[in-house]
Amino acid sequence: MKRTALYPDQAALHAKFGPFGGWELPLFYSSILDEHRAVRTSAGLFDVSHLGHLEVSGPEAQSQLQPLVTQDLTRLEPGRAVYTPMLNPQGGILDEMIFYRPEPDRFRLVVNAANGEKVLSWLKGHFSSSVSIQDLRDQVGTLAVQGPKGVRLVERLAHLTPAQAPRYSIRAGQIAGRKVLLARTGYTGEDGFELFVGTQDLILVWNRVLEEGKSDSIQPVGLGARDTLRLEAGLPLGGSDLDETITPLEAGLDWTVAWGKGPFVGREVLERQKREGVSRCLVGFLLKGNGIPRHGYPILSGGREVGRVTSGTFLPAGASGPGTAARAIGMGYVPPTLSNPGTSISIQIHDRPVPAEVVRLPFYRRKN
Amino acid sequence: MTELNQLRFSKTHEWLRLDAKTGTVGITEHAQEEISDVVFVELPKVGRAVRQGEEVAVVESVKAAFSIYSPVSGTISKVNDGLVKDPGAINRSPYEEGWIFLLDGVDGKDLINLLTREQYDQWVKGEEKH
Repeated sequence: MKRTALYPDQAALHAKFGPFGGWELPLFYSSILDEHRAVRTSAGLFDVSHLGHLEVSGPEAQSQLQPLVTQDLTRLEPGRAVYTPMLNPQGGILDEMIFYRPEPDRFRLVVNAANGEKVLSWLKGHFSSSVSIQDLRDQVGTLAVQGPKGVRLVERLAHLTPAQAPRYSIRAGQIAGRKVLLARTGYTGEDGFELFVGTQDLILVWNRVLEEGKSDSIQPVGLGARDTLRLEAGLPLGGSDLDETITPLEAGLDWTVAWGKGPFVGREVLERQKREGVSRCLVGFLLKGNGIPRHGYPILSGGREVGRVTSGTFLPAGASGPGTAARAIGMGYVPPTLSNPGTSISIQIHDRPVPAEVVRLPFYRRKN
Repeated sequence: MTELNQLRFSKTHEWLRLDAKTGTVGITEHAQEEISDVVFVELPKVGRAVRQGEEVAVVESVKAAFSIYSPVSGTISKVNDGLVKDPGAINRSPYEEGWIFLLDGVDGKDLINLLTREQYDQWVKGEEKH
């Protein structure tokens, strides 16, 4: 299994490690719940260097990439970022990723850890001209600084004014004298930055952020809380909530499909689904009884299995800040007739059905 | 304080304290560390007869559900209802407040299959190498 350059530092912080997408990564340092709360109320620092960085550049980069994604790259201004699925011809989600455009002819794709190789060969197989593809997976690491105090923290470190790096922007900068790409993106439901750092500089930048963040009570945060944070924010996870058999329309990612653009791989299937409707859709639900929903548990209606839970967890009272209620939450696929908020369903938990209610996603929305 | 040397341990990380024919069962310090933030405990029904190695309870953390196996055969005579309101007691105090259930009618012969503290510590070290 691969380890990031920060493994020794994380071990020294008493991290518990676990496997994810071919990597051995910190699951938590102190406690998943403490770390979840830190991101919701102050700031958290994540090492997400398992994310794969690929760069596509050249005068034809935009036109070659455009037919491979559902978003319209002609509307992606330089210095901006956009979340987009990449589909197979059946309309299934091959991978979903953020496309960053630091320069007009340069696209940085940050893909799921387990899908790096797949996306790379997919790109190579579809490019017809002299577009350059760079595999930066061994050269670039990612640190995410997330939470209400995380934005000011990065602005201080990189000497930015608040107006210089708005949401979904990307710009070159420096932290601790090292070159860093500063992306105002994240995967927690909070505001924050993701820092793209040369592997050799990761330790330096990591330590600098922790040091400067002391006054903000910053905490290192593991993959455990990353998962509970993204689930609470209603963000699907590739491999759990999304796979190559599921289309963006089924996954509630309609907003990522730019119908006004030209042809793209998978478009025909999406158009047919748009016309005829989908047979399943991803919903959020709140458990009404005792237990915790988990990936793979059956979803029942009228005593019959109608789908499966794809993500679930339990958050005790106060986990997302003062006054937040205890709740067991989850996501899963159900037929469209059962997808309206307020619909009663059951989750099969350890051989007994537990009542649940379909609710509108997300479970948590930040105030600022 | 519980004298750990008097406990017996299973390879699935339960501990047992035997007092005459009544056994108290919980999970070990090592197990609670691995599981982290316990947020829910599914307790067995009082009166249920269980066999050694049978799954009897579920301890759930934020990240996953962990099955609890009975380290010996017997009949569930009491469960720790306090864990319903305060499942975190398992993390704070795995050998005291965090006990999970009591078993009556325990046969001392079942202890043959369990580990002493020293053997359990060795077993944990061996597991961590994988």
